[in-house]
Amino acid sequence: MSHPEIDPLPESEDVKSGAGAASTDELGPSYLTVTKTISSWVFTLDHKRIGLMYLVGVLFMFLLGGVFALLVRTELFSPLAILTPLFASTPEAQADLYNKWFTTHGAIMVFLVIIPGVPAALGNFVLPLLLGAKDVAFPRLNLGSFYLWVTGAIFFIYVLFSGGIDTGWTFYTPYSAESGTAVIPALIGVFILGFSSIFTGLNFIVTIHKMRPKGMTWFKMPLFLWATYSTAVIQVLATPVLGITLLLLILERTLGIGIFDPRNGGDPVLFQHFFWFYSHPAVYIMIVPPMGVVSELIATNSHKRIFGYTYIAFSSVAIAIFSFLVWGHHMFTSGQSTTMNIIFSGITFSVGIPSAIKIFNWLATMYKGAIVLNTSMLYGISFIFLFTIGGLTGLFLGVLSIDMHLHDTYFVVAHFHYVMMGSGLVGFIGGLHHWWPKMTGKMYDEFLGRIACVMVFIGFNLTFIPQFVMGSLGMPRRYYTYADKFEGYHQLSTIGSYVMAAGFFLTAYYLIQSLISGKKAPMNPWGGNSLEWHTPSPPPLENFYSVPVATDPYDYVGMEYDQATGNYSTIKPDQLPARREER
Amino acid sequence: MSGDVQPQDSNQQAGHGDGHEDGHGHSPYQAHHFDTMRQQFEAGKLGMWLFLATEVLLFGGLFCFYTIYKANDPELFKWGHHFLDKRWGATNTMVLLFSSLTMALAVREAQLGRKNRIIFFLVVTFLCGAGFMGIKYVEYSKKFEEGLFPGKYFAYENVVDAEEARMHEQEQQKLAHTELDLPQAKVVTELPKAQGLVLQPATPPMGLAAPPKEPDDHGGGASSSVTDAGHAPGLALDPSHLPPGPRPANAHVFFSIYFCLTGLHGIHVLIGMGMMVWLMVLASQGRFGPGYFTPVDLGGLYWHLVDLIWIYLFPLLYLVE
Amino acid sequence: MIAIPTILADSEPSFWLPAPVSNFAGPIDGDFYFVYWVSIFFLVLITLLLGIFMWKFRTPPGAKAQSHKDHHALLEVVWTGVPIILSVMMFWYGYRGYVDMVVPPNESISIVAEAQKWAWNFSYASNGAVIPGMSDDFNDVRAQIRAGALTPEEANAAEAKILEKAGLHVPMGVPIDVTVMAADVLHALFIPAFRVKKDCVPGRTGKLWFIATEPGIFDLFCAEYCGQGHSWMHSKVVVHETVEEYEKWLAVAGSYDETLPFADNGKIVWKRRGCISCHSIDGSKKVGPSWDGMFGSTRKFAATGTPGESIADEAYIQESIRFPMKKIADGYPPQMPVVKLTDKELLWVTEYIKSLGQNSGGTVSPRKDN
Ligand code: HEA
Ligand code: HEA
Ligand code: HEC
Ligand code: CUA
Ligand SMILES: [Cu+2]
Repeated sequence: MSHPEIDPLPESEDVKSGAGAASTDELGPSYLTVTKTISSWVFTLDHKRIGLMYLVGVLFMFLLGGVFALLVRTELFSPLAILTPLFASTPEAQADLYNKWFTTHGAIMVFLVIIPGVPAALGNFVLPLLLGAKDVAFPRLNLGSFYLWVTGAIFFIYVLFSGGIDTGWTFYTPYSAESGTAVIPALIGVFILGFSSIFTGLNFIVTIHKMRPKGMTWFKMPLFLWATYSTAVIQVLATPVLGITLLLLILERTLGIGIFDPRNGGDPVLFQHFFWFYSHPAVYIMIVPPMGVVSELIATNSHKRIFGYTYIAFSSVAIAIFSFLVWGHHMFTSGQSTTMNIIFSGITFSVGIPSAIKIFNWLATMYKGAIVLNTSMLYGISFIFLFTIGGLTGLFLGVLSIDMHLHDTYFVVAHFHYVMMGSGLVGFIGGLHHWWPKMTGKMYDEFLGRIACVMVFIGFNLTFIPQFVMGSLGMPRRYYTYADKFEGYHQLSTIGSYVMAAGFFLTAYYLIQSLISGKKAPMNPWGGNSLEWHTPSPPPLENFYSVPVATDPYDYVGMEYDQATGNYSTIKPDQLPARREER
Repeated sequence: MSGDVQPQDSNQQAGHGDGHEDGHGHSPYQAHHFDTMRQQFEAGKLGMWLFLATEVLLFGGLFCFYTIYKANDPELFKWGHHFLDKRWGATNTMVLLFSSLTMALAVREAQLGRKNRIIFFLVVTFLCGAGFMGIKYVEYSKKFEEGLFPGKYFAYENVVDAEEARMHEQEQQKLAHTELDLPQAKVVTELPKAQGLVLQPATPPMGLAAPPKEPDDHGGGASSSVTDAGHAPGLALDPSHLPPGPRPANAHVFFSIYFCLTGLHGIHVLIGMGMMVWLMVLASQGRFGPGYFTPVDLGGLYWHLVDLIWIYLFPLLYLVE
Repeated sequence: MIAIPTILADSEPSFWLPAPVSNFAGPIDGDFYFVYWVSIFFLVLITLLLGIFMWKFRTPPGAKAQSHKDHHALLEVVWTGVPIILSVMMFWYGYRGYVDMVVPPNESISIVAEAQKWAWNFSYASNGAVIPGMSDDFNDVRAQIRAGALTPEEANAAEAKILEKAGLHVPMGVPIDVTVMAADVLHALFIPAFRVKKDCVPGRTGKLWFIATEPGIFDLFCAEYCGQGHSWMHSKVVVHETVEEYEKWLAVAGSYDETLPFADNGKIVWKRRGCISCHSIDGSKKVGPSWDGMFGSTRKFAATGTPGESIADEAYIQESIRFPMKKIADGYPPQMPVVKLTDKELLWVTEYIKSLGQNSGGTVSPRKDN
């Protein structure tokens, strides 16, 4: 695929500083409009188009996973069967159906939504822009990753149509070795998705290492890059182990190789070790990139230098390193040795420290900032609050004695929704709003945006706070019916999930509406100073009209707001007031 | 190996290539999003190293399983490895080592841009890969014949059990007559190895030997009485395959691990061979030279890794004791 | 329909945790509340700061930040150091509490809890009695309460009746040492009131122990996902006030009434030993084939075991129970666990199956749809 030559525009000062607030279409074609055929999308090597295709795919899968979540929640409104009887007649078949619902929900959300969410969808779009590069290091591989993702998604859809899968997203043996459902296609799907994730990570590591522009040293990179870099390392190093584990599980089912299934002489606890060796680091694949997004959101919308840059950068790396050492905390009751339990519990707490560092530095960034409470900032603030709850409840689970009681109860369910959904996904949606104008060239409805964010926030807490309570009261997870005493909590939770769903549907509505009738986005609507805000919205094919020079991404002093265009522009250096006088 | 040879920036070697120059002095092989050939080369190399890291981890998972099961049940591995033929294993090790050499030479020729020599060395490497797979084929079919399938298809008992029991009995009786004072278990343990050694010079490599239907007619000395007497047709059971002692309970697990490890490795060899063909095509188009040899270089790295993994696999599986 | 108000009117003594009735409940709840108050402290702190900053420093677009200060070494040290100290404390408490839970004291009553899909069996070391969990009976009671067919008092009476010969019974004040096992897939023994949980791993045994500190009846759940019946694989723990009371119960509960006809005892075996969760007696298909009309019929076998077919006579039935994996009835998964029945139980259940076959009148082909 060779790119059609684009006319380099005269390098006007206006374009560089953004003072003209030009949108691409006035300057020349944007990456969206430069070619129009279907094949120019399907075979594109442009990271922005690939990112956009990922985004559409991921959001669609989010909708699908969300529908299953709503089915689960509706069923749990009462301990009696209320929704499953519509689809299945015997109690046994109804229980099977419920089991398929939560498995499908969990697997889709984890493997198809939250793991590729920020890195592959948003990261693909902004990473080269933040670097001032024309593309990622291996554009073909990038497209390949996307199609691997698509193939994995197709396998999942196939699983849905061939009767679903009921093993839980954790695929624990021996149940997964004997379950009569479509386990093998699902495993193949996850295997393929794993390779998609590996190649994305590989691409990003090389891009960040080799394609930084002149003048951008490691410690002048925007924090989002530190986050994606740390994540990419986890992706590259942890995912292959999941791959081989899943392959062996497939062989266990087909050939009965006797590695994981005790009936053939295997060891089910070994499977858990290998599963969590990947899947614990994977939870940080889900959270570290959104943390990177939040660093950008908070700094940009507070219009203030990020506080403690180096601490935040290193805390991402620290999380990545520690994440490899704590997997055993999912197995405290599984029968692994006492010594291992104690070691894993000890190391588990080490992850809390870098997380705390991030939270406090974000707070300090907001202090004395000029905070604009737009939608993305509201998501950023929600993130801080929800992640605090999610992280702190992780501490309960890390304490050995308490986990004996809480393991596999709704307390765990609530914990991981606070971190995956309340933080990971909220960070993703926040980032989506932050970069939406850059991606599409359109502004969305701020008012509806804020309403929807508040709805999601309220609905979310209403859904999952009752789950903490019933979990610690002893409600086990993955239950299709439950003791009557938990009914009230389940009902609150179900109502909350409807509120949250309404919030997301509203989001979908105004985002789509913005595509149709949204205002044209200026170059720099939020006042960011990293490189992506120095090119028109949406960017041209090769991202920049002239070779960009690395800026200080967190220097907002030289930004001037123009009420009429809604654009921030850089003041020419000679007009700058003395910079950073307070440092 | 060859990592220290960097391609020069294309500007300095204009004239290479075939008129694709676009006026900026770019090499025709430089992708639009890289500033220099050198950046592109380094990016490719780093990418390849990372990819190799994932491969190592992929195999690393399997090696972990190996280690864990071996630690839990060492007897199983001592028993099982008797079914693997060291001679074939060693031959394959040599084949792969040699192919690594020819691959390295191919990379060197690519740096020098000598088209025919590149192709020659690639072909040799390819043939080594094919030879390796051929030998694996022979080994595998031998296993399958004997019912040594992985997992639940493990059917050794159906094919050989009775035979094995009978031969053990015969051996023990015979030894009881000749060397009464030796502890019996020990004799049994040592026996097959000793037999293997006795037979080695005289025996053609197994599997290449006569088709299974024919009765064994080789060897001599102690073993012939065992193998000849009452050898059921259809059982080409070579005495060197007679394992020591009774069959452990989870015998199939050894073969599961054996097939998983060698199978995954075999797939990698096949991929490597495919890559070789692709490199040959590129080479025959005259693509490689001092300014551009990344594909050969990276392909070489991959091939060396495949080789290296085998070098670990061989002692772990074939030379357990 | 709407049960939310019951949250407030609930019987649990505390908002967060169920009533503490074992020796571990106290320490674990202590750890819980330590982490809880640390968390509340940080949550309140962070939320307050967020709220205040959001409110005080909010501006319309275009305003300038009041400060650009971007580092403060002392602050960094404080908010790294304080969490480190608190983390170490949390780990330490958890470690202490956990180590206590690992090693049971020597003087204890041994019980084996064996999990199978989807039933519990508790064997008592002192007299070898095997007492089932009887999930299905409890589920029946539950369904009847929901349907309004039982008043709360009647329901309690019904449960008490079931518990005469079911459930995990322990005396108060004595260390109980439970060995957990699983026959098929992973399960987990979870007793919220005692704050104990242990996975039942097939092919391994696990241990947990506790001392119950109050008499009463408490929930027992399966906490590790085990397939279809996971959510109804529960039972009750009964804490007797004295050891004597407990032993009296045990002597009665473990026995069959041998004066009953064989088939009647067979029906008790069917319920007690968990056959009921997979085999119906009315012809409906559950995980396994129904016993209705099975006796004397021709059984076809799937290729997953020994293929072929045979008539379901006594020998076949007993073989199927002793070695379930040998011959797999065609059209069914190879999922039947090895349930170790006593010789008498085997005899009775065979008689029972026989009686069902005769009831429906001779040979019935196993399943019409294959
Ligand atoms: C995005 C995903 C994500 C993230 C970020 C986390 C973060 C953490 N998780 Fe979580 N976790 C999951 C996803 C995640 N988890 C999932 C999916 C499961 C269940 C899977 C399944 O079984 O299906 C799970 C389960 C799980 C368990 C197993 C529970 C069980 O099954 O019994 C444990 C146990 O230790 C645990 C601990 C932690 C800890 C200590 C953190 C820490 O990283 C949290 C760190 C953050 C903070 C601590 C808050 C910020 C700090 C402060 C405000 C300062 C104060 C701090 C101190 C005093 C230390 N998690
Ligand atoms: C990222 C991961 C993620 C996310 C986002 C969610 C989101 C939700 N989850 Fe889930 N969940 C898991 C991961 C996740 N979950 C996992 C891993 C499990 C464990 C599975 C297992 O045990 O194996 C689980 C299990 C689980 C359970 C426990 C089931 C059980 O144990 O029996 C429950 C019960 O309430 C639940 C509920 C919900 C709800 C109500 C939401 C809601 O937040 C969903 C709301 C979303 C929507 C309603 C969709 C709206 C979307 C659009 C309109 C699309 C367009 C959108 C935009 C453009 C913005 N989830
Ligand atoms: C987890 C579910 C499960 C439990 C519990 C269970 N079974 Fe089964 N049973 C099956 C399945 C599935 C089959 C059919 C496959 C097979 O033949 O193994 C079966 C088959 C049988 C058969 C042979 C029937 C035929 O059609 O050939 C008999 C007899 C039997 N079970 C008796 C029992 C008895 C007695 C018990 C209790 C002590 C019991 N089962 C408990 C699942 C179960
Ligand atoms: Cu048994 Cu869950
Ligand atoms: Cu974890």
